Amino acid sequence: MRRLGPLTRYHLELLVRSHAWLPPFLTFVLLLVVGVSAGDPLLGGLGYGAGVLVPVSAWYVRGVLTAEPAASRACLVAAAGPARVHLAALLAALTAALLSAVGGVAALWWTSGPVVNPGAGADPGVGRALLAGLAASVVCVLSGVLAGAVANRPVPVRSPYGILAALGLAAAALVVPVSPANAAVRGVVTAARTGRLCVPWGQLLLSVVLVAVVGAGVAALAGRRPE
Amino acid sequence: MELTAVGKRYGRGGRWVLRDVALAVGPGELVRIAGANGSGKSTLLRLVAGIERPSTGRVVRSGAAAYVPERFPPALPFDASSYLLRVGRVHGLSAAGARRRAGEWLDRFGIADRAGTPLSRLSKGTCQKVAVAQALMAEAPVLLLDEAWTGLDPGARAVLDEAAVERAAAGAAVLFVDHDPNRLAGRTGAAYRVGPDGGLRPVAEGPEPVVADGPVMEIEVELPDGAALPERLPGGPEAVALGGALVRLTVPAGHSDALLRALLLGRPGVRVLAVRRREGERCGGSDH
Repeated sequence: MRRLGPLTRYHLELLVRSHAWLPPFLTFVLLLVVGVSAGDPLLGGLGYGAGVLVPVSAWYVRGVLTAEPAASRACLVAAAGPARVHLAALLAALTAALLSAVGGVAALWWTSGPVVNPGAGADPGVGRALLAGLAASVVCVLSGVLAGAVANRPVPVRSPYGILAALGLAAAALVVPVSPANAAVRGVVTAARTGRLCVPWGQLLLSVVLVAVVGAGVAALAGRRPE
Repeated sequence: MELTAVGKRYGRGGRWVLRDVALAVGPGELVRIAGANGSGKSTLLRLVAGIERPSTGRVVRSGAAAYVPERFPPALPFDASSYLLRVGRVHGLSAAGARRRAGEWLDRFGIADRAGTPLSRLSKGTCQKVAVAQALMAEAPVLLLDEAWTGLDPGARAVLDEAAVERAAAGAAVLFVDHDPNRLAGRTGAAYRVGPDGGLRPVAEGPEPVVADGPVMEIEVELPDGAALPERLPGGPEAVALGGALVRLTVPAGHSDALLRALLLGRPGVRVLAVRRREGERCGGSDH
């Protein structure tokens, strides 16, 4: 795993230089601007922002994976092996999405009004609200990376269907009750009404394990079916 | 680096591009793969590089490979030096080491002035130089050149010839594909041809294998003021100072063409005064 660091750095630079980070990032910003107004309660905004991160993270994955031409990828594969190259691409997308998540949480905090909705029973405090919002955002980022990893190369999905598959998976991650992203967002949004806040540690752990397993599987698949 | 009973076909029921290929290339060997267009030469190199997996058989490789693809994409959104730096880091070089070697190779190919130019704005040949530099700077134990000479100017071709020989001399296994049958002639250890049936067979290489006991050539050169001879010269010539700036180099005849090319194209540029055959003597005998 010694070469994973430089490979991730390569893919991050590729993402930045190819401007492939811009569409998902601008979409994230746009959806935040449309969905949250200045002075809204913090927890509601954090829940919404976390939910938006699921499709945005899947898009980052697609951006990284499509920014690399096959021939230059071949040079990297010769040096470091296909599994490592693919894993590094996923890590680069994860890094970009996590940076967006942190920026999003900071922006929502900056523009927010009270922590909970008016009439809520209790006030958990800004610190705990931010912690819960950040944890929920990370859960959603991980779910989005998962959706992106499954809906792109090397999983045999033909190009236009890849976008649809990623969107479908992202929507499913947000809607299906057993998904960690759904539970985390639901927890934060409900807390905005009731004031009873739980930081979604369980969902965070579950999604980390899911991403690790699926990431390893997809990377192994990249070694088996290279193109 | 070894391939055992390797076969490759695309899709079930597809044509066998390669079939039952056995190939072993040891450290320091320079091996040529020939064959018609579309015969599976590139596929063979991609199998060795680990970019594709064989349908049957096994590919065993010790250590990382450096690979020059057949077509290098100018669509890559890097400039030359930062691309080389990033790839050098992937090959395990330190940041300072990668930067130094990137500079050296850009300089050796004469494109140091375009180090900061985006690859998309470089000419096809210059882009190919970056693709070649990317593989050479890694100094990997396996070097794979897939028609890497195509698109290079004559000077850069000679540099790549020398670099391939240097890599083999440094103990790397070098495998190359090129359409020029005289490419590295006399310096390749073995040559193989991919047949239309996908089989790989050895072919007789070159007009004359270099024999250490063969005829000996003497080359007299004049060095520019105070300069020393380049360190690694093909054939390992024996140098005798003749006084002043004159030096006599003695080398087996099979290496003399390569040596002359290195002298004429190398830095510092030396002036070649005389080339003659030494009659009636044997290199490696009791005369020294």
